Amino acid sequence: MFERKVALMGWAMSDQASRIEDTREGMIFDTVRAALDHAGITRESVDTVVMCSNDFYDGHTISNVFTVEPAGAYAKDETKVEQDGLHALLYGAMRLASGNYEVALVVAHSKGSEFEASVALAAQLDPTYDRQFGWFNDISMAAFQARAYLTRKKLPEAVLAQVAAKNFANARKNPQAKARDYAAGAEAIARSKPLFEPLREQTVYPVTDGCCVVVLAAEPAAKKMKRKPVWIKGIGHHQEAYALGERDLSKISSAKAAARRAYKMAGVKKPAAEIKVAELSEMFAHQELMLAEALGLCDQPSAAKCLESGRFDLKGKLPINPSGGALAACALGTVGLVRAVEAAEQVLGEAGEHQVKGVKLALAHGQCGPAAQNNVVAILGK
Amino acid sequence: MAEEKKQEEKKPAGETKTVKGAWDVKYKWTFRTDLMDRYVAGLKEKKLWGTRCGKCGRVFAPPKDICGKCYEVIEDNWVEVKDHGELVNYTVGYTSITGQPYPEPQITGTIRFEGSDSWVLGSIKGVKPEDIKVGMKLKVVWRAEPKGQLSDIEYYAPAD
Repeated sequence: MFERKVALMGWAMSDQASRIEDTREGMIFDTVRAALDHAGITRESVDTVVMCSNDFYDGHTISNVFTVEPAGAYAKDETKVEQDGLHALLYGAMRLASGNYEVALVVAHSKGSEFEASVALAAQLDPTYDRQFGWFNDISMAAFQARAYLTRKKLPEAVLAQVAAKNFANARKNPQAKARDYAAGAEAIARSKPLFEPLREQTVYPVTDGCCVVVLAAEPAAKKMKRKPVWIKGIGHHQEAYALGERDLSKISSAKAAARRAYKMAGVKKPAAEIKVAELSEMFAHQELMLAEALGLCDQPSAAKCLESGRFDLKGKLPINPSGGALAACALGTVGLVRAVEAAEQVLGEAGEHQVKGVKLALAHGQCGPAAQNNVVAILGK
Repeated sequence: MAEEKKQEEKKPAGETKTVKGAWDVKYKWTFRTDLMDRYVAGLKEKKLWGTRCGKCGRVFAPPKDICGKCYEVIEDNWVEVKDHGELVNYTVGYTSITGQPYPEPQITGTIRFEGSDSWVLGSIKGVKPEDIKVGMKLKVVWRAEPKGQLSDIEYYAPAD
């Protein structure tokens, strides 16, 4: 439980697309400026800045030394998280809850067009054993998880294409998702280039550039600001073992534990009925179904059946990823923060063409680590 | 050092160029030789050794020195596991880990050795992609003359 309430007061995100023509600093500056304007504040009001990126992605060690100025953190208290943007939001919120700060900026960015993402991501793996073989990366690790889940639930591979087809259809209504052609339906997705079966090019995240920024404020400062606060009603974080050889890969137990904490803090008893929209970091199609089950978003034991019944569609009872999710666009390290912004816009009715009706409580999820080792769940509401 | 490339499209914020570079840092990762040496020494004799947590009793092969669940050091508590077991998971890889297409699909999987509570990652051969099944019995295919290296396990193949 937080000692005092913390809210999202403003935000901005860049297009999630290849932005090789932009500098990292320019992309961050433009997005932070837009977020400050959105919150109706200037840099002077910001007490603390939490950034999220990854030295491997940026190609510098302690890469935030280069980005503090465009992020508005010059001569301020600033730190960096190397996980997901939703982890950065969690730490920003904790700083505010501590009572030592009133306003925090959370800044996540990466430029997938500038580095070999597959090489950087393969470097997540244990160097003394797993990396020695040269066979494994984050996609093949997730492929094991997909196989474990499909086997346990006795599901055909085609269900993965159905998840992607739903999210692509949603992405067509999201003007900021520009990572790929979203015209493909389930049949075409199921025939896309195989990478590590059962995962294919279109059931795996597409790497883009992007920046996402959130202005957080604690009460009472939040209540004096221009915009309506979107409160963090609950937030939870949990992780499990790195080693795939010690995990039941057919379940994401750390997401379940993170959600349990978030729901308890938010007073959510029946998530399947109380949560009205969920934005999940489904880096791979199967993870959306696994997360829907782990987070208690289904009205029956099978997330695949919920998907088939239309429950997770934009017009369904509990839409998942109306933005298109991480399968639509993925600037590494920003994904969970993008989900939080999408969830906040849903709460305020400002999500545009992919708005869901009557959202009182929205869920945002972020993850990092091989096969979703580490998960954060946030519940946002008015 | 730098090869410069001018961007074709002019942006309002000004023209940009890119500078190429790489992060070529050599590392020397330290691991406990009493653990891995014993493990690879076993491989030379076509034996698989693991360690057992004294508290929860789980057997880890390859060996671990700390049980994360119990938060206990695993003292000198070696157990031999079998060189056969079952397939827990698999994937058929059509590209290398850096995205280059493979001439032939490569099957990799996780295998639980009989007697172990963890499972290992490895390459699987001798079975067609369409015939592979979770739960099938696999055996280690050893190098003809093991040298005491991780590569002494050449691959895993269906057990008869």
